[in-house]
Amino acid sequence: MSFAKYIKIELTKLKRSHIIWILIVPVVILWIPSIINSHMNFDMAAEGISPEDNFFIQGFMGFAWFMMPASVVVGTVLLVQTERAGGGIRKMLSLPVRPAALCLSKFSILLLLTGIQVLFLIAMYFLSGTIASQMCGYDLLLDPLTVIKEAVILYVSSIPMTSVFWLIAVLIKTPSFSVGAGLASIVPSVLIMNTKLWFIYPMCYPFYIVTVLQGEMAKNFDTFKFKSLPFLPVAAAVTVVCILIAAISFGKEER
Amino acid sequence: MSFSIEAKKVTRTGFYPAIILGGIIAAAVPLINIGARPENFVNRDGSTLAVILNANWSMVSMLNVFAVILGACVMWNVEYGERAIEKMRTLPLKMSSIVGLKGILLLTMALVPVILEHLSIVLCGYLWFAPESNFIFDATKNFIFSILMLLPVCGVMTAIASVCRNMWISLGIGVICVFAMTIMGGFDSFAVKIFPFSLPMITFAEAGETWPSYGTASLLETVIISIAAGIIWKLKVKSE
Repeated sequence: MSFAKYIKIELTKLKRSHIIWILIVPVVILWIPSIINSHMNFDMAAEGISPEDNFFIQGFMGFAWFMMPASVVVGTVLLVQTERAGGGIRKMLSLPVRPAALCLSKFSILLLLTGIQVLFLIAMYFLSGTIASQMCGYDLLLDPLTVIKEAVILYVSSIPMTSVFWLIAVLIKTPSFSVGAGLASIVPSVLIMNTKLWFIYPMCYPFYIVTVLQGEMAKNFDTFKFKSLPFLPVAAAVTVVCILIAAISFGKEER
Repeated sequence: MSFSIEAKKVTRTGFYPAIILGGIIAAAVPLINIGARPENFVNRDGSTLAVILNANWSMVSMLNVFAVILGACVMWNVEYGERAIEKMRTLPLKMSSIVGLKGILLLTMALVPVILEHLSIVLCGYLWFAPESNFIFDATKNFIFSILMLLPVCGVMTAIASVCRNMWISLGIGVICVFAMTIMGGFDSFAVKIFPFSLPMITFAEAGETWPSYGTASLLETVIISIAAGIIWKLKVKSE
């Protein structure tokens, strides 16, 4: 069976899950205060950030620090629980499927869900930016290419975190603990981001990346400077190791 | 009798250890945060309690709300996961009381983290600060106030989880509400602050003179939510 087929099967399972609403609603909520408070973007002269940059970065920061990781946790619950109902995973594993491929396809779905959410984020950015621009009589929208580039960077930076959450969901069978660990790990990310060892904590990567960008946009704002070492190798290693362990241990009990 | 049934149902879901563990983690936050760099905190202006709470309460209260959300989801997942609720209906049990009993159980368990956190706050005070004579008294007031502020969110999550067959939906709604709370935090209005998911963030000192309004808001919300939850649950039982 080809990998595309695995993905197709997984997508069928999601059809009646209503997960799409859980992805869209927060992104809509995110931009409402930005529109209402859009006049505040003009009071940021002290930080040395332009109104359009500030409008963009505040929205992306609001998304990256909490909702992005939380959505991945909800996604893991979705993937685990759909299989649990009626012993779905046992039936699935009795078919001629490779458990590792099954695991990988589920992980891909998780990445896909985040991808969909980031797409909505971009769409809502342009929609709310247009409304806010009309309200303020000032063009608050950035060049679409810049926005898409930053959104792609944000998305890629979330992949290590997604792999950690997926590993937790595969290894810890009791939802109380796997979901609890996921949610609890989001809370201290701001604290850990400010320490020297931030790069070993994947849950803070997305927020870190956006904060770095904020520092680049705001001339008078002193924040992190991006250093690719040791961040990139550590992030890559975490991702690979998590995916490997998850693939090896997936469905071991049921097999 | 029925309360003990509800309490027993969740024993194998990790409900109790997860909330207790969450409480221990939340209680560790101030100890680690202040213990790692006490020099940053001891000389700050304000009372000992205010300094400790300002540095930690946003994180701690967020963990409390997560514990409530998770607890509610797990509690109802027991009913819907293996279609237990349909089996329950065939038994000579009063279905209508389930929602109330679960709400009470959730609230009872939510007290555990709050107790542990306040013990840790007091410990922080004595380890690294020179507490004022009214430190313990103020901490006790904050403890009672925190419990009061936690009532509505327990009610709301019980109501949401009671109608969601799928756990990810109730979890999703819960985290979206927390998210909305963090996003709306910038608005300095009473109406935003008394949103059930925002109330637990408020400390007694922060409420200050207006604490009776917060207390009343919380109690009113709890009453309204409880009645609504009861009605919604009755309709749900009837329709199935």
